[in-house]
Amino acid sequence: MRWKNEYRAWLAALALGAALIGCGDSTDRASQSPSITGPSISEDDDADDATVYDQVDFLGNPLVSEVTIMKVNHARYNLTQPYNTAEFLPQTAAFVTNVAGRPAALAATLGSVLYPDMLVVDASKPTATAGWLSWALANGWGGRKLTDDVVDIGLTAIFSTLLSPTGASCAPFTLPLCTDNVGSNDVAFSATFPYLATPHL
Amino acid sequence: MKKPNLTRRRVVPILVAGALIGGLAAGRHLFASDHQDTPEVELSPRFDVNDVYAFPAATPGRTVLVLGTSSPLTPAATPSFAFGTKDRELYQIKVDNTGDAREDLVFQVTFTGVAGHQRVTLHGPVKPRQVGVTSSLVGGRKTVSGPVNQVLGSANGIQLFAGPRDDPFFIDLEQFFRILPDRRPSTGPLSVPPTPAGSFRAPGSAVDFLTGINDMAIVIELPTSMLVADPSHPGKFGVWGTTSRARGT
Repeated sequence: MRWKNEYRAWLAALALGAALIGCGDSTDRASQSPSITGPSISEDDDADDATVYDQVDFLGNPLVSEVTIMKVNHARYNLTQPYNTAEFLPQTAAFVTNVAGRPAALAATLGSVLYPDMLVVDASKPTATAGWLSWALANGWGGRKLTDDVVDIGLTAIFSTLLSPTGASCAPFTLPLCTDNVGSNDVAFSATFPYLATPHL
Repeated sequence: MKKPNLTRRRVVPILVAGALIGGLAAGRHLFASDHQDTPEVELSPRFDVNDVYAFPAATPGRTVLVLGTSSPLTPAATPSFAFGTKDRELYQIKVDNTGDAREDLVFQVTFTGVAGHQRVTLHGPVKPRQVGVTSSLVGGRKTVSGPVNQVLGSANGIQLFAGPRDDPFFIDLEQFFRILPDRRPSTGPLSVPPTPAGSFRAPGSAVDFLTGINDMAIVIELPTSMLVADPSHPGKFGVWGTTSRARGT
């Protein structure tokens, strides 16, 4: 349960308004094309430069569209990109305040880390601090690990006393609504590439 | 149990009003995934982006990106699994490393061949030809290509795996639908009206609904320096996943 203690810490830090930082870097750095070092296999795969592909589905952070965006708008959400997701922020805030019955300040805090909707990584931070939304802390790498219990994290952030006592339903990571008590995957992940466990056959 | 009642009083009427998720065809991935939440995705599960991950690799200085997509919700029969082929579908992981929430780099993953004999090709990370919801293939030299269900590429450069894997997500979805009955799926075993509940279940009683379930995974590992804008001063980057349909198909 060490990770839960870590998340208690960062959620508490959010509650204090500490280290809430925007996704954007303040420095304007020149775009740099990375060198591609992977092997190339010369194989004609019938590439068709003329084919136009239209987006069907989009996902950045877990939780955001699924839980907080009105169903009627999911089709539109799936056709957006992170730079356009801000228009959905009021719906996320409304979910937190109206559906969950939590304070507006909590909604604002959550919105500030969930939008623009993408998994944020701060590569300048120690990788040991990786975990969903940990980039919002002063020393978090962020991203999303396979082992992150994003359900409990999300439930705790929305419903628990951790960020605010007002309207809270439970203590962090406890019943009735701040944990689903499914804390890990049904099979172990691999320590090496490709990390996801072998399929069930 | 008074607190949950309080919460339910707030939650349920709004759900009834249609404010939230409903009609999950297969009832999976409620929280963490962009599940079958629109008619188009419901009818075309290969376009369903379930989950996106970004985490440090086992080897220092490297990062892993995962795009989990849905095949029909069956727990077995690998030969029947298939990715959408490039004449119909484009899978992308996109990266913003300049802070404007617009993709500076894309990974374009395409497939050819029939189920059981598919090949995968990766282009990227590379600057896309367009930014936004309309895409075209970057073309040019392939980064990695080969059969699905194999580890491809270089452990020092870019590694690629595409194929069925255990679905990495976990949730007590059954109990979730007892707490929020309005969100249960319209078909499948979870579509039966559940006994209402005001709490998740105790340890030992809770059930991971995704036990024994697979997804179609695309996993890419590469040096983190290839993801940031300035490798000498690694900063922030944002990651998201998309699926796209070839126009006219």
